[in-house]
Amino acid sequence: MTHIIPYWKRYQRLIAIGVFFLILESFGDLLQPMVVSMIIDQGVMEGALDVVFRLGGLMLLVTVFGATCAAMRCVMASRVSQQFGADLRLDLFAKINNFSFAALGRREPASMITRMTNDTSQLVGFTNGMMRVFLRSPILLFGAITMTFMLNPRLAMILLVVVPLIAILMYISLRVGFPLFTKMQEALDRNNAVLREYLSGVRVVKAYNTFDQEIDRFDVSNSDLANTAIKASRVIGVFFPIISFAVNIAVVATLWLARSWVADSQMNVGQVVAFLNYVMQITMSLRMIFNVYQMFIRAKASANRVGDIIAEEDTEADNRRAHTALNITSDTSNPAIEFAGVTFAYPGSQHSESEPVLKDITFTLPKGEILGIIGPTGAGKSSLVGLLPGFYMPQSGDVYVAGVNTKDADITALRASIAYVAQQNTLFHGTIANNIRMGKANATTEEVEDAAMAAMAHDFIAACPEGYDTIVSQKGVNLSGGQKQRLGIARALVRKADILILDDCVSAVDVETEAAILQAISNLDPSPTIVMITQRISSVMNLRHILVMDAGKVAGYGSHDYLMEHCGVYQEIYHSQLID
Amino acid sequence: MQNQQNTTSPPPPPPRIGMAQPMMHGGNRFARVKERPRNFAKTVARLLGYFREQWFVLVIIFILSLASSVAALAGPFLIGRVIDGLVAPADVPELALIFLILPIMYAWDGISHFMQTWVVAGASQKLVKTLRGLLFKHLQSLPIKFFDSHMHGELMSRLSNDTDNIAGILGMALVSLSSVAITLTGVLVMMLWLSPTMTFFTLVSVPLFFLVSKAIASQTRKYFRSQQVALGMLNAKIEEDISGMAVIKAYGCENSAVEEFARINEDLRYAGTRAQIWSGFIMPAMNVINNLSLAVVAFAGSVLVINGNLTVGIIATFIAYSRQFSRPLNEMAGVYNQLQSALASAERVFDILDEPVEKEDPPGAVALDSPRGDIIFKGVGFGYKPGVPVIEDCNFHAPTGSVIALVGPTGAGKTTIVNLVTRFYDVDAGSIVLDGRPLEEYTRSTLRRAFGIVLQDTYLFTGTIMDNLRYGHPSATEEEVKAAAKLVGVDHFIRQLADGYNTVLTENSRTLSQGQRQLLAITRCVLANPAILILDEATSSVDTRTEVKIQQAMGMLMRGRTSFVIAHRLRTVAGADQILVVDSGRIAEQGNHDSLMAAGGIYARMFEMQLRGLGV
Repeated sequence: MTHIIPYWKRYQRLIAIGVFFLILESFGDLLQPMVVSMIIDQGVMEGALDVVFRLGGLMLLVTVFGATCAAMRCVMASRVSQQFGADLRLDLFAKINNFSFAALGRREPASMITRMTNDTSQLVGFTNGMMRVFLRSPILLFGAITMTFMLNPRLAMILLVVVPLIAILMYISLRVGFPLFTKMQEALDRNNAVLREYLSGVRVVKAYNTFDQEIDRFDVSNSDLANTAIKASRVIGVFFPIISFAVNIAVVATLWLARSWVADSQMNVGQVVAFLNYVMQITMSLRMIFNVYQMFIRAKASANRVGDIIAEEDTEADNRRAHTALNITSDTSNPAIEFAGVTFAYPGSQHSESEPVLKDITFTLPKGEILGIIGPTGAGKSSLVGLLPGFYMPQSGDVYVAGVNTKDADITALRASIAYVAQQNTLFHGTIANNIRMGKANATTEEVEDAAMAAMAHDFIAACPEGYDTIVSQKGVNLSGGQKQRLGIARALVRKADILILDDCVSAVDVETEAAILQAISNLDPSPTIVMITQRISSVMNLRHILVMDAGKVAGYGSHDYLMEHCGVYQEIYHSQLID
Repeated sequence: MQNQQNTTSPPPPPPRIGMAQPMMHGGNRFARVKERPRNFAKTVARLLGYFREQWFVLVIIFILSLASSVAALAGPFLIGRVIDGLVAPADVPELALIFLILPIMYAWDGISHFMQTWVVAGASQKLVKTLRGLLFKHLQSLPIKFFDSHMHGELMSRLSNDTDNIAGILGMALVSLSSVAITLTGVLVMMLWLSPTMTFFTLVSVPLFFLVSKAIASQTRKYFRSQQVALGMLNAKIEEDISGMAVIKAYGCENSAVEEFARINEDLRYAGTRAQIWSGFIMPAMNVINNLSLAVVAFAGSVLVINGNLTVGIIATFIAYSRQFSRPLNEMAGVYNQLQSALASAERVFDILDEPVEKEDPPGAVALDSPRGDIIFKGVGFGYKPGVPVIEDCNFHAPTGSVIALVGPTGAGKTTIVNLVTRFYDVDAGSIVLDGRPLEEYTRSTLRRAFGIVLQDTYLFTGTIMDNLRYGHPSATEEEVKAAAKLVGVDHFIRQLADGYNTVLTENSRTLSQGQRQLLAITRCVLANPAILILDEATSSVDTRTEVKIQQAMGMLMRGRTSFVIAHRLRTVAGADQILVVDSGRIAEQGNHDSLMAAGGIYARMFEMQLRGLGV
């Protein structure tokens, strides 16, 4: 809860107003039984109709007043709780967007989704519930207890036995319930994960016709979720009947004692009725408190899960404070890219440190040059370029972009200087224009079209009825592989960044188009430094800088002719692509 | 089961609010924002219908409610007697007995309450489990089109948030409603027995209850619905964002992502606040009505007592009863209101369940037992959206055991041909004949089993490498898996991993490169041992040396099987029996490498280009 409380503090004013109405409302509720008892004692018993009439009117007045306050309180509670939920979700979302890949990799995506929706909803429900009982039920409870003491202190002693008993029961229910609800939310995570994976992989499922297998898989997580939920609500369900029983026994005890006192004329009947009314009110308050208390137990489990994200100490979190200004264009003396003894392994799971994927990489690329990277599958090509925008930091050695160590660089400036086209290029739901504008938010229509033309995407976009306003489906499923890749390239080109990274991003594009794209890229003005991963030897053989990678190491670095002389791996690749 | 035709003549897409039409696949993004007339009673009946198999649970709940209601009814009566006893002990000789009965009765009340919670917790969660299971099962039979046009996060929200909402409310509602019904009847009977006149005064307020709760519910229904829709969209946004985080980070778009999220978040907040405010109004409103009723009872009661028609004890009892009577009414109002939320969710769940399934196998569909893989395309035409053809008049014959290569510019329709031959989509015109019968005449499950597909975007599931490889052939032995891995050439690198074949793959794990993922997907396909192989850019991220090795291995595998190969590296396809050059949805050229080169058309030009090299 420690991470949640500061949020509540933000709405102090609204909460105060809500509580104010709550207190007024409670006064109304407290007065009511008193008025009822007066109606009986002074009106009904005395046969005074005018008194009944007068007091009845008073009671209605009190009620309307109470109801108005309750409605106001409800408005405040709803505004506070929903605003709280919205703020919390937004902060969580922003936090996750600032996570480093290392931190993201530690978390299951489905679980992050559940935390932002389901867990937050639990907290919203609890916040709203709390404002319904906050002070009010305790006030009603203690008010009713005080009134019973005022009516008859000796009779009220009974409550002194019952109330502590209830407190103990509530404590036990927290201890028992909390771990159960935590388990339940985790089961929800797993169920969501299975579902999400199914949706992502649905083509494979259909292709392999493995429906039964998938249904079985879902059934496991689904049953697990149902079972933990059943267990949690059953266990929590024990407590209220016990509490309710305790209060009812108090009523019986009251009557038992009252019997002799009424006989002795120490008490009158109206008092007994009033007393019973207060006890009833105590039961009601307890019921409300306990309802919210149940929510609290569940919310506490959710709060821990949400707080876990808020509190995440992301040691590699994107560094947004400018340590070193990064300005590539103005500084010509520094090489565009420099790797100095870089060794890198992806952050493993908590326990195991994974094998390095890059080992002692050293090379320098002058500004404005084109670097071709080639090498077998799994050689570490994508991992290498992933270090440039600071997605990860190397374990040892340093990566310099324009002479600035990525470890010291302001990450926003660093990424602003790079346009990166990933191998698996994600498109987002939205228009084509918006997808391209991700590269440069304020790009003009002309800039967007120029980029699309250079990426050879303009023609197919223009052929769509809605042109650049055509909606791209999530992950671009309504586009062919080649179309997706070309949009990814357009997105990078519109950025006009100093460094352009192309990670094997034309694999699904036909040769003619590829040639045209590469031609357009080489004619860019100003010409960026380009890093290009490719499988095709023909794409790199004319370059001055070719980096050959093999098993995480640099197998060779130089021109085609140099590598043909000195690099066995390169020769093999070359020969494998000769068409005989 | 729906058996609607949904492919040969697709229904017009439902109207969308503020969204342009996606260009190729008919897509209804944030599914069903449309307002169709909702039938409260129908939705409730349908929801209860899922309880059918648990009918005995309903009976138990009813019996338990009856039991605890007896306590709830007898309580005030007995207490009223005690109070009468306090006034005039002589009138109530059974006082001692009542003091004996009361604790027993309250104990019984507690026990039956607990049992009720116990039973209901089980029943409602099981119902929701059933619903989730049904939904998931239904997803299996939905066409690919459905998945392409719905945001995954949004679907997830329906399966988790909406079903959860139903579970939470329905359980509560069931208990309340059955106890409400019983208590109301009981209280009414007791009151009538005690004093019909007083009963009349107690009932005066009842119509007010109904009017007010109905008026409020109509508001809450509206906002609950938009709340659940917004929640689904929010879920979709989060899901998409997390999936595409690399791009967002690379382009520094975190802020705009957060802004967009904030917009949906605000929608959710708005709807949520309104829904909560309106449902919060129920109780204060009910409270006013209760006390109005109480005042009427007290006043009327006094008049009757003064006239000597009633005892004070009865008035006290009636005041208690009027509370007893209004409590279930209040509860009903509250439940009715909460039900609006459950129903809003239920409608969203039913929307999916009502989604038309893939065209069912026609009666008399044949099982494709031992496919030979002889495929003929006869004048095939197809478009993802009506009126926008992607494939037109496509004709070719792929005899058993032949290797067919599909080449051509991107977006020409190559993948679409794959989608059609596997019946991910059904043709709009012409027909595809497999082993002498149109595809539609085979049962879909046996048809798909005939194919082994390696797709452009490889997808591996969470689990070990071993599990992933076995995916298409779960009963494969470890030796068989390893043999297939050796064939594709991945055995070596798998064994290099710390956990070997037991290495767990997750979405986040960077254990594998894209190329390695493709290799695993190929191995998975090899192991499934299909009659017809489809390789859609299956080796695009694999380096060429490895590709050559795979091809050699695949050469053995392809023997006797019909294979479709889509590739941009023409070298990959040069050896095919038949090369189809697809351009703008038509087959522009057809032949083998030599004949196409000799023809000097598109293919020859493309090949020349690749041969010459494409240095920047």
